Order: sequence, then C-alpha cells, then structure tokens
Amino acid sequence: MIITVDEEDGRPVYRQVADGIKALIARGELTQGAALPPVRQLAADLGVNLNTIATAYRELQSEGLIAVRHGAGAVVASMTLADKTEDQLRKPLRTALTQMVLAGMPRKEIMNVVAEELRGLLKGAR
Amino acid sequence: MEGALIYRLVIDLMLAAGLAAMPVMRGEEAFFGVRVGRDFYEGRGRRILRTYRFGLAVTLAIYEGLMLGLSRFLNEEPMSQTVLMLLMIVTGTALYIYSYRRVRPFEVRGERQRFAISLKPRGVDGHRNVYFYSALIMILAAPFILIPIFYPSMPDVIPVHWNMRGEVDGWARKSVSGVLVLPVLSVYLQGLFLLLKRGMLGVKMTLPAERSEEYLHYKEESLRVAVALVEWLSLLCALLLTTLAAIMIMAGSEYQQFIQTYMVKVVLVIGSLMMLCLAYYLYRIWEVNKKMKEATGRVYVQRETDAAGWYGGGLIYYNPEDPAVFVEKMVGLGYTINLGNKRALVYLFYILGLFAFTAWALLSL
Repeated sequence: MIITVDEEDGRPVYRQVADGIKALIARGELTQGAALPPVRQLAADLGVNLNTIATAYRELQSEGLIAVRHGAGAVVASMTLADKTEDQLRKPLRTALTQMVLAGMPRKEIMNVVAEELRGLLKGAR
Repeated sequence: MEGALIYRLVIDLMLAAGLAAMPVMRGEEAFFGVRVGRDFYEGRGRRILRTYRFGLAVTLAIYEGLMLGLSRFLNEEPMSQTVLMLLMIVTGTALYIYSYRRVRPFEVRGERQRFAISLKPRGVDGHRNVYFYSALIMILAAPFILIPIFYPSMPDVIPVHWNMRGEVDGWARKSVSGVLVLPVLSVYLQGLFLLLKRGMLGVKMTLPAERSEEYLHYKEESLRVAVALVEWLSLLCALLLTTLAAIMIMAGSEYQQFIQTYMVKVVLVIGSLMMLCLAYYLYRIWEVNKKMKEATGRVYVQRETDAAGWYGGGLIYYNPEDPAVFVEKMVGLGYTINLGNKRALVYLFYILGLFAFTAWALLSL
C-alpha cells in the first residue's frame, strides 16, 4: 500500500501517483471498495499542491477505476479499465518498445524485460 | 518550600537536557537543523556542539543560583520564578541559533531523491475511545453539578490560591463568574487537546523509498505513543482543574476538613503524574527511534523542497507551498505546525484565546 515518487523521473508527480495507484490495483493490493486517502493527506505527505493529487484522482476517475464521492472520499470502484480499445492499450506498449529498440537492446533482452515486468505485476492476488 | 524547589529544579534540568540533546537527535540529517556531511558531524561539528552545551550548563547554573537566591530572600515569588524560567528558555534558544549560524556554512545540499507515501487513510477514525471520553466528560461535568448545590452555602470570601503545604494564601470575593472560571477554562483546554490530537493524527508522513513499510510502522508507533500522551495529559489536566474547582466550591462546607487534608495532596499527585507521563513518553519515543534507526537506518525523512521551509535552525516551519498543517519537528521530538498554512492559524488563535481567557480569569477573581 505504498507508492514511490521519483524526483528524477521524467513523469510529472500526478502521473506517478496515478500510475502507482493503478499498479496497486493491477496487483490486487487495492481491491474494489478499498478507501483511498483524502487528497489533502497525499498532498501533505508529498509536500505538493492539492491540485496535483486531485488531478491524479480525476484521471483515475475518468478511467472508471475509482469513484470520488463528495464527503465520503475516494474508493476503488472497479478493477478493470473502462472502455479502452485494444489500439489504445497497445499504443503505450509500442512507445516503450520503440524506446528499447532505439536504445539498442537486443530482441531477447527486450522479451526478458517484458516478461519480468509482467511477472512482477501479476504476482499479486489476481 | 523544599519540595517546590526540587520540583522546579527537575523541570529546569529536563528542559536543559532537552536543549542539549536537540541538535543531534536527527543525526547528521539535521545537526542544528542543517544537513551536514559525516566528516563535519564527527569532527568540527563536535566542537561547536561542546561549546553550545557548555553555554547551556553555565546558563543553567546562573539561573538556578538566581532562583535559589530569590527563594531565600523573596519568600515565595512564583511570578519571578516563571520569568526566570522563560529567560532560561530565551537564552538557550539564543545559544542554539548562534550555533546554528556557525554550522550553516557547512550545509550539504541533498540530491534529488526518491520518496514513498502510504495509501492507507489516516485520521481520527479508529482513535475514538469510549471509556476515555466518558471519563473525560464526567470529570468536566462534575463542577457544573457541584456549583448549584454548594453555591448558596459558600462563604462570602473564598480561597483561590494555595501554597505547597496546602495552606490558603489567596482569597477572593464570592461571585458566580469567579466560581465558573476554572470549570470553563477546563472545557476550553479540552478543546485545545482535541484540536492537537486531530492535527497530530493527520501529521505529514514522507517515507523513504527503501524500507518504507518498516519506516512507516515505526512512525505510526511513535504517533500512537504521542497521541496516548496527549490523551493522558488531557485527562490529568481535566482532573487537576476539577479538583481545584471542587476545593474552591466546597470551601466552608462540612467537607472543609476532608478537602484540607486530602484534595490538596491529590493536586500534587496529579502534577507528579503529568511529569511521569512526559518522562515515560520521552523514554518510549527514544526507544522507538532506536529500533527504527537499527531497522531502517534513518529516523527522519523529508524532501529537499520541504527542508527549505525551516527557519532558525529547524525551530520554525513556514512553508506556504506545503498543504501539511502538522509536521514532525526537524530538531527535537514531537510535532510542530506549518506557520505558512492558513489552516494552522486556527491553532495559533486557539492558543491566543487561552491567554486571553487566563487574563480574564485572573482579573475576575
């Protein structure tokens, strides 16, 4: 139930938080109905603007993963992404693979990396 | 009188020990509130620390001497003793800031780092103890029940101050507001304790990227200890004020003799219990910190952006960019408020209200 934020990571903080929460849901550490902390708590812990965390929550909400109820806070609403076409899902993978190929990684190593990441992700309860 | 002196001496010694330990409680992460290198911390820094501690010892000796002299010549002068203690705190702080300025040139800027945060919701939920609140409400309500019963039979002049032997040394004219002051003050103080507890439970928790789970575990443990301390102190405080109010209300009644012999002792016992609570808390926190250092290698983590919000060698936190209200102290133990946050002003105003209240109470008695 812990997510990490890397200051050297190219991604903005809100993205890192959203991705972190998504990974926890994918691994089954956050299950349906689980309460997420209030925006203020996460913002305070990281020392970032409230909007940063609110943006992350909004993104997760628009993807149907969490529901934000006024007063009651945010809860995990679903463990599957809402309406994503296969093409949309493939795109980020294609980008990542392109980076690896351009970085000069041999095919076998790329396959290993993909398998390893997937294994790490599916290690949870799902 | 001897008892009072020892009491005072113990408090002063605890204060001085706290000041002496403050700069090194967080190790080289916050040496006088400054992040320094290992070499400096173990080399030149030690000399600055020794000078600081020597200054503290001299200050303590001078003020204790003055206090002894005062108590010899000015028979019982509580005000002057309080002023002396405040002076000691001011001198200690001045010494601290002077040392901080000597250390500051050796500051090491931290590199950009990885951090972790917990997704477990925190807050007052799960910290509501029915027994605690029932006991508290009964203690708070007792004077309001006693007043209507005893008020008509109270003498025209009532005792309002006692010395350490339990003899009355202050009297006041009987009045409704005069009798109500202590019970109302007690309720107001409980409001402060509630605010404190609420704030502490929402304290900022930045975790290191490595061993985050263990780090969080120990941080939660020390928070639990701190919240328990606040609860015990609030209970004892309510008990103390209720006892004092009862002594005042029941003066002149048929229970006078009983009050004279026992209740005054009760007040002393409660005072000692409060000190014991504090000592136990300090011991527990020290213990948790030690275990934490062994398990995770650190006792304090903050982002570089937050570190820039500390002033006066980590004594004051002012960071308008930070939405946190309660933060862990950079030096010393416990928590402090982010003065740059508007929500933190509630606490300041509440405490100011306490002073205003006390002033009014002193005038109305």
